[in-house]
Amino acid sequence: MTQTGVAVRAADGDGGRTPSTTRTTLRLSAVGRAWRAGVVAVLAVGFVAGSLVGDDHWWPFSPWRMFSTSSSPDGAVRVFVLEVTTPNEPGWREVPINLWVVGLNRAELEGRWPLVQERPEVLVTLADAHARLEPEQERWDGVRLVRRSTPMAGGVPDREATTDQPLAVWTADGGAQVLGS
Amino acid sequence: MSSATDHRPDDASPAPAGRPGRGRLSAWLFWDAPLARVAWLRLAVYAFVVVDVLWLHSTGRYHGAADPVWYSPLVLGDWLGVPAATVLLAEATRWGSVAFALAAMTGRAPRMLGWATALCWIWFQYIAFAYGKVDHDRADFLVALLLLPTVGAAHLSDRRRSEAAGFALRAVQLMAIATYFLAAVAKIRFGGWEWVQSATIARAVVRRGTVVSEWMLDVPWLLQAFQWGLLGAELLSPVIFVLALRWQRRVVGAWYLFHLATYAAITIAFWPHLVMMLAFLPLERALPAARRRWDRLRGREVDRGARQPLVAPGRDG
Repeated sequence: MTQTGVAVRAADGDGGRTPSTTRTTLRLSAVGRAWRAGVVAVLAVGFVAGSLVGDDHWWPFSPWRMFSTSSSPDGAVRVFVLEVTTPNEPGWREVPINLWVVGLNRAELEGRWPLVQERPEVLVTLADAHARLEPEQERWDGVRLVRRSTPMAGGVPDREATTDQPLAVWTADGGAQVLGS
Repeated sequence: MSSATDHRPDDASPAPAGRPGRGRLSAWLFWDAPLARVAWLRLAVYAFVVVDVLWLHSTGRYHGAADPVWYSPLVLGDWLGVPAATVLLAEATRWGSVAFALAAMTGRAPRMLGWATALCWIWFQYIAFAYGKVDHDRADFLVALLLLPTVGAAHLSDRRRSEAAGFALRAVQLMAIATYFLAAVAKIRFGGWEWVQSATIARAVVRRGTVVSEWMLDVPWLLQAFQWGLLGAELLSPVIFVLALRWQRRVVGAWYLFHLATYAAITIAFWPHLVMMLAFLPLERALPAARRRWDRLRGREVDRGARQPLVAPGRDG
């Protein structure tokens, strides 16, 4: 560290608002200033470049893109839904997609949809993760990924027109397949 | 009364003999700040780390239970060869963050403990983000974690000033404000100028709305007006650095109100960023001021000496 600088005892120069004792100011050496200025320059270049041409994989220099996409007021809100079956509950039922249930959250699963399209058998890993995270619960023998769409008109959602589209499924006895895109 | 221009060289303590003259930018970047302010900010930063990994952003540890097939390494991980998370690694970085942050809060070994905290916290964030979703509000906090230790020893009642402290505080301020400006850049880059007329916030309310915000879905122009205001405020955010100190703090207060409203509306808060914004405030005066108020409330005679601020106002932008 170069904050070896020179300690200066300076007389109060602020209109007498400080106590009447002398005050110590620690100065930085030229080297100390130089490397700090260099750090600022590197950070500035990294963050600006990340914002202009980077993507999420550049983190921590990724763009600050929270709520940055432009959504049509007349489009649809689409979210992934996870449905499962168990030996004692063979009908599909919805379960939360979050980290403490399947080790991933919904946005992560949505972001990895290309992986599921390519290798639908990865859905079994969600059942495995659930078995590790909630061992007291019955093991899933079926996992189905569904896209739920709620249409919007003028920025107002029409919840009654919400539809579900199965995208991919894995079952213990039937294997895995992609159902939609 | 102070502004960026108040930190001109002749406002600072005289430079030691033999030092070259300082430019305006250099004097602004390396202003002589109260060391006590850094000590208080570090306390807040390390306390936040503990709260963050234990409660606010603790769920990244569950990635240790996810199958490695879901691991999607970031550039940083590719460069450094960071492996997929395991339960052990996730818990080690999490509890390492807690242990080092608690130790750093004592003020001892500020560099070693500060950087150890930074390493654990950053790795824990990496584990959280390397599975397909990055939380975009957390990068700026790295700057605080990495640069605050460079100041070295600083005590809560420290009466010294230091250029290293001034630099660290300025860097944290710059980074905090850059997040607003760069968020606007991202909106223009990804959403285009039509972002202000889009239904982006309406969708956020559909996905995560609360009783405070759901009625706004029936008044879509209100949400769009909010988007106009937000983009404008983000683009103008760097102006804070040329404002007088009093107005700087009002602007910081306004940003805090904005974040409060955001949380009420869509339950999203950019927690680390809220800590970063503390770098604009005279933290070292908060406790003495609270003590005086407490004494007044209890009807005590306030000691004349206690009225003296620890650090003189007017020089601490």
